[in-house]
Amino acid sequence: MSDEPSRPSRSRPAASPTFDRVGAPGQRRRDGLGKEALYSTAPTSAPTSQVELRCRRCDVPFGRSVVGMAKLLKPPFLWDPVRGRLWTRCPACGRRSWLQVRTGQALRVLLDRSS
Amino acid sequence: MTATVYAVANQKGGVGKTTTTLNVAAAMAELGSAVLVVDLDPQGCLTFSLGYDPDATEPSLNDTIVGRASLAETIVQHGEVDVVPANIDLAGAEVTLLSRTGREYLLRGELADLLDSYDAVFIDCAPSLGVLTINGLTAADEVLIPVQCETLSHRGVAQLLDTVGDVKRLTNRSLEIRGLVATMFDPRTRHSREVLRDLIARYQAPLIGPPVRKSIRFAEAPTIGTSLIGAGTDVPGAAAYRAIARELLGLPIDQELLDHAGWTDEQRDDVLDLSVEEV
Repeated sequence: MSDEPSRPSRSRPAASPTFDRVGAPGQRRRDGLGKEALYSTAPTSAPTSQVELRCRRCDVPFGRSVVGMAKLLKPPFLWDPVRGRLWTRCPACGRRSWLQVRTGQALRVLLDRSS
Repeated sequence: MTATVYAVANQKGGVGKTTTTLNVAAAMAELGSAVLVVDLDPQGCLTFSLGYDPDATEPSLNDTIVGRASLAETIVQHGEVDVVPANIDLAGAEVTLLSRTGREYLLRGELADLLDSYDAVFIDCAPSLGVLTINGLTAADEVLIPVQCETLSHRGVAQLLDTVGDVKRLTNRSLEIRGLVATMFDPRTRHSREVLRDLIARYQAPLIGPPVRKSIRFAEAPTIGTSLIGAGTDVPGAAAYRAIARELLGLPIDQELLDHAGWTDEQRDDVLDLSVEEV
């Protein structure tokens, strides 16, 4: 065994300024028509949906037009007007489930204009 | 038994995703684990590396995407691991899926029925950011990031971490970054060492096992249709992959294995520049 005292050591290496231009993640502006368009569930990917739905079983939120919403009303379905929810087949997970129904941004804009 | 699902991902191409997937999976299988590998790359490199002709293997992952077969029906039993093959038709899956609500969850849903049959599932992601890669990350519990120790690969890690952030926010809250796998590492070059140090320091991501040393054997292996582990090739890179597999399984790693991988304590301190000069 050597008598030479061992040198102290760091537990982690140090970052080098050479790579500062590589950049840390999270500095990018979010764009619904850019990278986030890949996600059907991104809030920014469906900015013009007239009706917003969220499945209680898979917890996936998605947007629909009024016509698309009408297509969900294939029997058997149930409508709960008190809680604003619809029992039907979820287009995201394919299972029958309660879908929370909310007015989407596009429909709100239309209603605001007409009033 | 419920499998841990690992996505092997990096948007940069040529960093060793397929080699890492194949050899870590084979090393785990060598330790007695039941392992499934999923080829999520339309180039079908993983399928080819395991000795199959991607164009002659049916059904493949694309048949699952378009609804012609379940994922279980596409599984092929190789001597080392089970594999879900892919071929160039998978390129069309991007278009097929793009208009589908909940498209990010397709692979996750298909894998759910298989998790009880395996100890580990490895998803070899494509070197691009598309619906397929998002599917892989959404289906995974942990991400392994193979990184070649050079500048553009370093940049690929930054981009992937941004994507992982998106996936955690939008489709898979429980996704964790398991760490970096340093591939094609050449300890003789200062640039390799600098990149490795900076990656570990900048992103606070742990390095899994020892760096995998560059070897021509990795380039040759796909022609024989088996992993280097399965072929019994004795190179430091194969030892590194065995150490990585043990670390993922939470098993102790022998010093002998680390020595064989070229990663003694002295080499580690030297490469990572962990020694501090006393003033």
